Amino acid sequence: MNIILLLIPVAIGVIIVAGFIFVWAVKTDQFEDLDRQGSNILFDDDEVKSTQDKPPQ
Amino acid sequence: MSNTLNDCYHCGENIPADFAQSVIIDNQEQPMCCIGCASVAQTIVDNGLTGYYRHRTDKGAKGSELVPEELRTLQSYDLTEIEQEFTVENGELKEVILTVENVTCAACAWLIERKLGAMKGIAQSNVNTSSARLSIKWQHDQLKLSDILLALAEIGYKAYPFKADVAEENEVASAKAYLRRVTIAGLATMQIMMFAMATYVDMPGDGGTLTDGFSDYFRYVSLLFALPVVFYSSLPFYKNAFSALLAKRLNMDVPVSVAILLSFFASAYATLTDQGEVYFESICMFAFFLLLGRHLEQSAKRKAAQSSSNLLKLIPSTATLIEDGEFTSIPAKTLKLGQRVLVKPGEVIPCDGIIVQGATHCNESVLTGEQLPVAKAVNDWVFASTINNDQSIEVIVKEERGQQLITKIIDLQEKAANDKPKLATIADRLSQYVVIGILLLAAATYLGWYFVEPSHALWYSLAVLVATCPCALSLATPSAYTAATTKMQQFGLLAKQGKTLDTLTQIDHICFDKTGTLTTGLFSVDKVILADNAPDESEILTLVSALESHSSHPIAKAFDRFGGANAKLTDVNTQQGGGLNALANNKRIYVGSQTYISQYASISGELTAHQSDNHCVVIFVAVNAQCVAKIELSDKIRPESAQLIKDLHAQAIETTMLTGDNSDNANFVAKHLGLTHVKQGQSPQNKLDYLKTVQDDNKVVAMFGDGVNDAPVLSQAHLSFAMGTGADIAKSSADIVILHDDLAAVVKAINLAKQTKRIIKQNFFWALGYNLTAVPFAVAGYLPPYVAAIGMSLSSIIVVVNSLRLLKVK
Repeated sequence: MNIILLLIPVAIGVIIVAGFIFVWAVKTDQFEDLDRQGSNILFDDDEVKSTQDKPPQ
Repeated sequence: MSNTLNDCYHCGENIPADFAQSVIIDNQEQPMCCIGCASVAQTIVDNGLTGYYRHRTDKGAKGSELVPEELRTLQSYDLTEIEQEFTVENGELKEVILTVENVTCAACAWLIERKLGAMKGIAQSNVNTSSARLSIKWQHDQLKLSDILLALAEIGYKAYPFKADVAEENEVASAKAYLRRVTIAGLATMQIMMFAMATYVDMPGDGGTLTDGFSDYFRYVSLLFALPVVFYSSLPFYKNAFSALLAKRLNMDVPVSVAILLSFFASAYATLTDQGEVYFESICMFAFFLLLGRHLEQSAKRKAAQSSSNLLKLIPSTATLIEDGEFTSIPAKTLKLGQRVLVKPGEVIPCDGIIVQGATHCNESVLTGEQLPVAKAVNDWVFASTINNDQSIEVIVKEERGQQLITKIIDLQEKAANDKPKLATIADRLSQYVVIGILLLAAATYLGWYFVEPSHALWYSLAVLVATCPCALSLATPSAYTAATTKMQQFGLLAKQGKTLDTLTQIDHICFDKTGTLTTGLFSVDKVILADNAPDESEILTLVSALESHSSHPIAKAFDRFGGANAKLTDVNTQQGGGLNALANNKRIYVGSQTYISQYASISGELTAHQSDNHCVVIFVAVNAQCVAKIELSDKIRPESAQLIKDLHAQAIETTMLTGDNSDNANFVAKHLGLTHVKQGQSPQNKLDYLKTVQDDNKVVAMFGDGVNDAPVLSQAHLSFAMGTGADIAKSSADIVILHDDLAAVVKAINLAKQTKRIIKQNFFWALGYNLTAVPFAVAGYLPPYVAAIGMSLSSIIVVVNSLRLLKVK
């Protein structure tokens, strides 16, 4: 049981790290558009190269 | 996606029988309904962006070619002084945030980003589909803003800079802050609950395995985790409570703050002195539930603020300055007294001034609400923001910007907004009893036990504090308002604040603007009376439609739907304010007023004799020298108006028409709809004064309007509705925007508001029921922490689920 005395402070550390990551995510607008990002993966990036001039970088 | 053969592949509308154009998309020929859609679809294909069609979940918006005025507007965005208003310059890059119409799904966002990404000079573009905003960074030496807007128009999206609603910036910051606070409270509460569970299952009577050392350890760790919840996440409660107390008022945050702070300090004391029970998990859960409610409420408010900002398009006001025979385009706000400006037909007049050359008709609906053009000649005043309809005029600036008629109306609106009477909501009224109740009960418990058994006094009064935590009670109204505003949006009503729903049930009197509100504000054909020898009605209407497509007069639009725009006409002559004529199939067609037609043809008595009672405008049609028809047009009453007025009267709500119109038409409309009172020929100040007298009578007054002239009244009314197609200032002054101009939605909203009030009452009943049941146990000293935690969460869940029922209201 005594291991709990050690594990709990470790858990506290993990939670604090998670909290900071979350605050950073909010700050960088990652929760701004939740509807869209889910379906973003459906769109291919390179299907068009055959028909289209390569976009200038 | 289903697509029948008869529907446009791009926008899903029916394809007119005589239109046969198609675009090859992904090797399949797809039908289009109009040139606009076809060119948008072709651009999408040419850019290799057909992935849009594969992944979209909604049809696109109907494509439309830019009209010359729109093109001109786009170009005026490039003027430095105007561009500075909405762009941020950052070294080589400029940044702008635009609102984009018709962004419906992720595919739209993808399409826009791909299209812009392929343009030279665009550094970054990002579409947010939930707020319908597009942010762009671009190299301003390579690309002009108008080029970007044009590129968007090519793929069927209209983008505009917009005036961010004052409320929006605050709402966004505050929504983000709540998201942080609620998540941190959630994380901490989960940890505390974990330790609390360990102590719950380890009942003292069971010969528990948890030694004293561990249970102390858990208490201290719980205290540690409660710190961020109490001193970071819950700060908004204390802040609101404090400012309410400063203003000598009480709101729901006062009992919330009292409960959190007192319970926390008592539990902390219990931890440090190793006695009594601790209620950290209850306090944290309490804070977490409330914050979750606030977060959802804030997100809804933020969404409403964004949607309403999106309605406020920033259309640049430019002027063509004439100096030494040179014409230069400058922003209207830099005009000075005595300068001479040229205003072309279709342009917005940039200043208050006097015409020095030319004669025209102006559409002054912005100021008066009335669509019919007013004739203007040399030495007549013209006013900023009105529209020059038909001839180029030259105007000398005669008023400073601050003295313009339109600015005066805006000032009046701002003053009215500050005077707006505030009504207390049910929750505000209830909160004072709750505060007093909590404090009295806790104090009484302490005193009572102090005389019976002093060692119990503090702990039992702590239990009372936890038991009376107004958790469900504080969620009762916001959860109902949030659900109801979401529902309102489905009805097509944009409510900027939840508590408008509370006001909606208290209305005694409603004032309506006429033109554009009760009526459509557009002319439509009422009746066609044919002469004996006339061709049939549809033929005449097509001819008139062909002819009127060359006119900018507001009544010309009434004929759009008769499909004559493509007919071949030659030698079109226009007489301003009179009528027009042209050659079609070797016949000369005349359309115009009675005086205009009688110059060319004789009008038979049967046509002039018949006179209906409700018309604004009568026009005549002649072919060669023969008058063949009389067409009566009127500003059509919205089909839903009558039902709305009837429903309002059924609820014993008085109605008044407050209109700037001084003609018989106002009386006709009022009588037809059965409004209780009519006030005609009202200036914005008159309207405001009338509204104030009604308010002084202790009546709760609502106002419906759409024009700039309604803005002051809209601000002053207890509750105001603006039409979605109305003026920007009307929409920003109003509490609720009727998005699709559908008045029928208002009736639904009133029912919804009543239902909301019922739900809130039920919520109060449940919430108070829980608190009242728990109190006797707490006073008696039997409220173990786990019972408090379960009771609090159950009562909160019941309240929230009950509120969610509002989403199902029809």
